Amino acid sequence: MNLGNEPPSLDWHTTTDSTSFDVISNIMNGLTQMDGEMKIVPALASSWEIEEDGKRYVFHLREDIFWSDGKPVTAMDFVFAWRRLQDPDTGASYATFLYDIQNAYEINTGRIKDLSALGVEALDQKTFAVRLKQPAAYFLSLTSTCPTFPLREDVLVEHGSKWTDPRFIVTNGPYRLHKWQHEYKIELHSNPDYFEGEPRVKVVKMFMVPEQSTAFALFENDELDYVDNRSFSTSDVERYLKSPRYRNLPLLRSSYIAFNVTKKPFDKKLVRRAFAMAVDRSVFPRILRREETPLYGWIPPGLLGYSESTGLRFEPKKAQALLARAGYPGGKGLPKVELLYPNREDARLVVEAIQDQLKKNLGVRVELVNQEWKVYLARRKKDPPPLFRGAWGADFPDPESFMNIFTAGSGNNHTRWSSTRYDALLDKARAEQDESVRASVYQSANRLLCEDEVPIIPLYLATQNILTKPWVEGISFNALDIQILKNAVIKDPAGKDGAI
Amino acid sequence: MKRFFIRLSKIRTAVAALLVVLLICLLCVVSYLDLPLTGFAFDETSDAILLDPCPQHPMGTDELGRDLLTRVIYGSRLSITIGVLTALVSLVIGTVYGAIAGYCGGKIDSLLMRIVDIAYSLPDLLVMILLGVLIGRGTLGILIALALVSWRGTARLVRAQFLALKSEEFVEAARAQGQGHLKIITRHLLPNSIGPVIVAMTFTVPAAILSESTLSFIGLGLSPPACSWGTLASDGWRSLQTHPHLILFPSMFIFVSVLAFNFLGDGLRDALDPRTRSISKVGKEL
Repeated sequence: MNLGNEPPSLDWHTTTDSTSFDVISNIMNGLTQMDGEMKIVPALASSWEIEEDGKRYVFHLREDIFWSDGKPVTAMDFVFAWRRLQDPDTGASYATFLYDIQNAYEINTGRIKDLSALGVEALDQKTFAVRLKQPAAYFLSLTSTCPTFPLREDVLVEHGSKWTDPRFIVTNGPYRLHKWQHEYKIELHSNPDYFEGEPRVKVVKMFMVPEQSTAFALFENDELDYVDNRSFSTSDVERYLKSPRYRNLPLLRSSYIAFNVTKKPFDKKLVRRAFAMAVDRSVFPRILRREETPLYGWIPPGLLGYSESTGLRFEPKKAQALLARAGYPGGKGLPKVELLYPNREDARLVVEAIQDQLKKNLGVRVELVNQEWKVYLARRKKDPPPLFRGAWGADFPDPESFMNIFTAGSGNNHTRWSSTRYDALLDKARAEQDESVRASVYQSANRLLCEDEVPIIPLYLATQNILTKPWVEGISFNALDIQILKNAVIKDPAGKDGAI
Repeated sequence: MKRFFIRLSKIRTAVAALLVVLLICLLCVVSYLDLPLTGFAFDETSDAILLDPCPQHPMGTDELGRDLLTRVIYGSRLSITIGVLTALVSLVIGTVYGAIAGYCGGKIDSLLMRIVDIAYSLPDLLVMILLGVLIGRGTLGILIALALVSWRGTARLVRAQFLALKSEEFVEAARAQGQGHLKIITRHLLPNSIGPVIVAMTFTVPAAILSESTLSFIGLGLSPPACSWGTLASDGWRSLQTHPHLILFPSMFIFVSVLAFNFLGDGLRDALDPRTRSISKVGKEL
């Protein structure tokens, strides 16, 4: 397979990108895992009880789970890992994942210095208990994600920051990290002691080919057994649309245009609304040609709280009227508006289409600024321009994963917008146990975000596109864009040395 | 002058090349006038996405439904302007620099030429990328970056001419008459070395067009929706296998114009420099 680029780190506490997660999810397991339908099923924990109205979780670990050095996986490994995740010295962005645990927020922000105050404990070798400060409906989903995987204290103490080196790392998943040739490939070997049985594909080679056309040529030459969005452009895939080996799968990954609400003219709500109503989202599926779904609200279809009617529709006449009311009739008097986007093919097409629409519908001139990925990320963080393009992939299948990035303290909120009402609504939704009440609270938060305050314009929901070789079966893809290889089968291993 | 044109007109490829160059320059001028030749604006998106060439869109449309012919015409504006301006700027810098070195000679010459050697030893693309990053994107950035790497050849050429000419008798005579340095340079040396310089300039234009394409191709060029032939080709190559028209037409224009400028340069060199011509003639007779 092709990873696209070099994973920045394999430390599942500090890394935040999907490339690293693609590797980690194949060498590690958490308490639970997600099946193909994104339902939570047991993994390291064979069973669990939810007590005290959702405020206490007790997990029972399996007996037959071992680290790659032969030692058993214990509840202490979880206690150590979850404490380290919240330790401010670790600097984990995903610490917010477990903020629902008692004292987690206080420890992570330095208000409590004692790590052992965290609401986790090992009742015995194989029993792990968690205390939440408030019920969180999505908590079980979190226990299947990479940042919540266990860690071995002795390994970290011995090897320090080098613990992710293939020579030192200990893992408990279906595969083991065998070799890591930087900027070239990662090689995984199957784990013969894996509790679900050794994977049938013994060797996985994960290449790092950033150039799509190169990666696709490798696929066409049978050097890659399957490819996804990272490895081909829209035009390449067009030739395979009719092929039975092509699959277009849903993905919980949304694109948006964000405003920096501290910069003129977007400090005015009316202007933001006018812009949102001047963008015709129905063009994106036609331009990108991968069956994208146009989005008007920020909660995508299929998740709790989604409602088709939420969000501002494309109404150029109303948009013009709003802009005039804001004091810029026909776009006159508007300062030069800059739109930052990353140097990627899809992003360029989308922002060019938006540029022309805003010119046509509002008479606004937008200047496009394109930056290389890392520069783009840095600029967005440090000094966000008036307009920028963003995309967000869900970490777990819950509206929370989309909505919480625009809260006041979120590290992913670069709009400089915050609303106590919005944050309060999310707090309420998080603690709510009743699904229908929870849905309606998210719905009102979504309205506040996409109809009233409008710090972002949701654009479209992307899809994952997969092309496999005829001899490959059983790779599991889900809408969170995590690819699990443990059940893969290569039907004709002749000449393929049983590797992916 | 007349003899020069007669000589030039006898070189058929040069005449053809001159016609093509004139046509391309005309295209460039036309694109500046923003005439509604095709009925579309270069940045006008539409629902007619990725059409193959058809009567309404002779070159087809791109992923955003923009008419490719309109974009190619618009692209000539930047490609040709950058090509010609780069050549002019490098002509000015190179001539002044080479003239000083050649005329002064001695230590100044050595110093100036070592600087040129150093500048030559730096890889062009690297320098252009660095300058592009420093100056910023857009037409001006590209222009400065290209001009700063393309003057060195001209400088060497002019210096060589000056070194050869300054010991000629007519220069000695002018000096004996008591004419000033500036006058000797402008009245005697420059006019006599202008031939090779003009030839060099016609070769700089296609080089600059290609360099601009290279810069745009690697993403350091213009920001959308502005386009040049280089950016059009760069956007088009991704769909080489499915929609070849997107790369075919812009690259055809790059190819034809680069070829035409090169042939024109060849012709000019032959016409301006009787020596090379006679040598080639001798060669043929043998």
